[in-house]
Amino acid sequence: MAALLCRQNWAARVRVSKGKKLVTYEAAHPPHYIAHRKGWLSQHTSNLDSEEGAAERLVEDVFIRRFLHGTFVGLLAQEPVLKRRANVLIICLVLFQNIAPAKIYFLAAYTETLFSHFYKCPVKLEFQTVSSMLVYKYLCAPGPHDWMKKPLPSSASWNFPRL
Amino acid sequence: MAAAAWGGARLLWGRLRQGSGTLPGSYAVRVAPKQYLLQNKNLMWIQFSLGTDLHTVFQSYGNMPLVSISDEPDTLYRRLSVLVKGHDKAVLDSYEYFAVLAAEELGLSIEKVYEPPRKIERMTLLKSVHIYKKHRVQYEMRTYYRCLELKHLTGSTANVYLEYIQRNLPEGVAMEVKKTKIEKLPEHIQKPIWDTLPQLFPVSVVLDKICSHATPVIVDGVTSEKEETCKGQKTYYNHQAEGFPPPPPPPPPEQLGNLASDYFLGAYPALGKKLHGLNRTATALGR
Repeated sequence: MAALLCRQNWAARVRVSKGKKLVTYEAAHPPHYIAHRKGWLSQHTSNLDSEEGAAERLVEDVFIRRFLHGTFVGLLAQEPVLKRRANVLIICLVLFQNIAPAKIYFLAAYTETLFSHFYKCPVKLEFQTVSSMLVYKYLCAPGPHDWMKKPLPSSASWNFPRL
Repeated sequence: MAAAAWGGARLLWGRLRQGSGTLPGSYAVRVAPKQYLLQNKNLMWIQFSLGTDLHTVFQSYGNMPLVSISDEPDTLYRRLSVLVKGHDKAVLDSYEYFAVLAAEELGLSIEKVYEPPRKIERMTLLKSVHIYKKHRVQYEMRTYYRCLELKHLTGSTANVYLEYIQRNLPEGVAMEVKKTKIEKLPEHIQKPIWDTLPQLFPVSVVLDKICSHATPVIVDGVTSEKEETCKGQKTYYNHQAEGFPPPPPPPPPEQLGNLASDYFLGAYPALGKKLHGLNRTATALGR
């Protein structure tokens, strides 16, 4: 029902376009599925009734996501999940195995130290590594010239990013 | 605050482990059927916080003694009300199961567990940055509640239970705690005042006399409330219902008139003169 009404809504939706897209479970579901098929990426209490601090948490979250995106370049398999539990900030990451484990540990400790100095609270980074992307959906749309391409033999593989 | 809480927790917990007979008589003892919380294997799998050391309740502090004894009596709570709020009802369901199980393991008496109705905050905002007033977007934020009420706790029990509950609070869940304390009545109200001051007349008898003599007092056309209270009750203060000792029998009426005007109505001379007969007491009441 909601899908029928959402033809002109573009919020947090991955649409089909020319090329091939690999979409994770979290990105494939539009926002009206939150609390039904989807969870929350940032969990804190300031959006509850008669609780304060929503704006501060939001600004912190934006900074943390930009920082992680820049520190773990090309390593994030999913959006990081931020949890706040009684002054402790817990960041949950799913990383690829592109880089040697020693470097991943260094980056993790680096982010933990910097964040704990920025926000004056204990910060814990919990990460796990994944060998390949966790794909939920493939979005492939043929381009205007695809009709000319012959079907591939079974041994060949498409040029998917980071498989 | 944490140290005091731990002191209270250790006091009760250490003594309970030694057995209820070792506690001095002034402490209210509630012996749980299963006294050893940590050794109860059923509870081990309920820990919600994974991978962090936030959920260790009783760490070994090394040289710190397990039991601290203080002479002051423990505070008593009639009711401990724990209200939990969250965005996700499933999380609150599991947290309620955990809290109720913890309370039962500790032997606390649960008064009731209920679910207050949810609150939804809705916003209708403009979809576009500039113009397009007819196209809006709607958001809502839902808050679900769960309330757990425990009755008849001691201060140290409440501290232990709340500490355990709060350490295992999931992320995105907020808690409000209300405690109803039981205190002793202050000394100056323990006995009624007419027992301690024998020379003065009881106020009830004087007011009886005033009410029985006076005609209805009219203030600006509205009948005052004094008329109803005087006609309906015999005494101004309802002694029998509250269990106070009955007042001494009233003195004979001859003595009363002078004393009333001298003592009780000394502060309000205008009131004393104008009570007989039809009078307006607007001036007497100090308007």
